[in-house]
Order: sequence, then C-alpha cells, then structure tokens
Amino acid sequence: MTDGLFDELLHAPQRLRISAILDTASYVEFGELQNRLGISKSALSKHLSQLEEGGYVQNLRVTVAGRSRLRTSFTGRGREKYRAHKEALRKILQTD
Amino acid sequence: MLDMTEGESQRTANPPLPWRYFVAMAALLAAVCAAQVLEGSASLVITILGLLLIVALGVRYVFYRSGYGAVWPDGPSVFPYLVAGFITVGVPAVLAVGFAMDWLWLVAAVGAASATLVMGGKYRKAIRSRD
Repeated sequence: MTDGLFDELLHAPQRLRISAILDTASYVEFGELQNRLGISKSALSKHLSQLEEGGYVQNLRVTVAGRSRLRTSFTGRGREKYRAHKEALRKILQTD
Repeated sequence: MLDMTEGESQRTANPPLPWRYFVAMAALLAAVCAAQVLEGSASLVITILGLLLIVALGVRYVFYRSGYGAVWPDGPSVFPYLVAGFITVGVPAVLAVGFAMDWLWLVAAVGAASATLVMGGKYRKAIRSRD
C-alpha cells in the first residue's frame, strides 16, 4: 500500500527531523539545525551529505557580514519525497 | 515518528517569543488605531510608520528570523489570533468608519492592545508546555 512512498533514507530519525524543519522554511542555517537537533557538527554534516547525495536537499554556502554560513533547503524532489513519506507513515498507522 | 515531524514543523513555524514582542505589537497596534482620531498628516505618518514596524517585527521574530529563510505561517495556530483581532479591532473599526464615530477607534486601540497581550500570554503558555 505504501510502496514507492516509504523512503528508507528519510526514515532515520534525525533525517526525518531535518526534513520536517526544512519543509516549514525556505532554508535553515547549519548552526540552527545543529542547535535544534542537539547533535555534533560531524553527525549533522553526515546527514546533510546523505540527503544531498540523494538529491533531497541543496546546501549553499553564503557569506553574511563577513561570516560563512551553510544554508540547507529542500529540492523540489526532496519536499515531494518527504511529504510522500509522511503520507506512507499515516497509512501504516491507519492500517495498524 | 509522525508526532516527531509535526513537533518539528510546529517548532519551526511557532518559535518561542519574548514578552517584549507582544508588548511592542500591542503598543504599535494601539498607536495605529488611536492615530485614526488625529487630524492631518500626523494620522497618516503614525499609521504608515506603525504598520511598517508591525510587519518588521513579525519578519524579525517569526517569518524571517535569524537562522531561517522564509518560514511558512502555521494556519491553524494563527487562526484564533486572527479571529480575536477581527473581533476586537475589525468590528469597532468598521463601525467607526461606517457611522463616523471616531471615538470607536479608541475602543479598537484598547481592544487591539488587550487582545495582543492576552493572546500573547496564551501563546507563551502553549509554547512552554510544548517545549
């Protein structure tokens, strides 16, 4: 029933949390994501790299007031996949 | 898992807001309403300046706050505030314009400030219990 909707890559708890945050904003900065998730820089970088390699997010490095910042946002595909995954979770809960 | 995603979306759309945000909003809304009883350009200047500051506060604290791009408003959460605003400000304002009773703008000013502070208190309480 949920074939094609359930997404293994997104289902990891921290990546799911990142996705939920990204789905509500046009982009989120690395520092804010780290603060929200309470995980190390390396752990967050790893999650973001996996999402970027899968084509779910795009990371953009910008300089604001002389400081470098990494902004992460969903790609169209990533947002679509995340919403489909949430729908799959809802269906699983309904059938249980 | 679904609860977790909903929680994160909520935390993004509805951030913790300091009291000073609601106090400033209340003061600005009251000033804009009260300015309508003034005559001449003073009314226009206060109205435009007040509305600009209201938008700037919303942008700074919620919709384009530090660390985020544009944050989508949370419709169901915002709805009660809109209804309260419509009742306390919209009704006296429409009556004030419709029946040319300028003093009703002062009622709207008190209503706007009171509603903002009361709803702000409820918002902060809800955020505390959520987090």
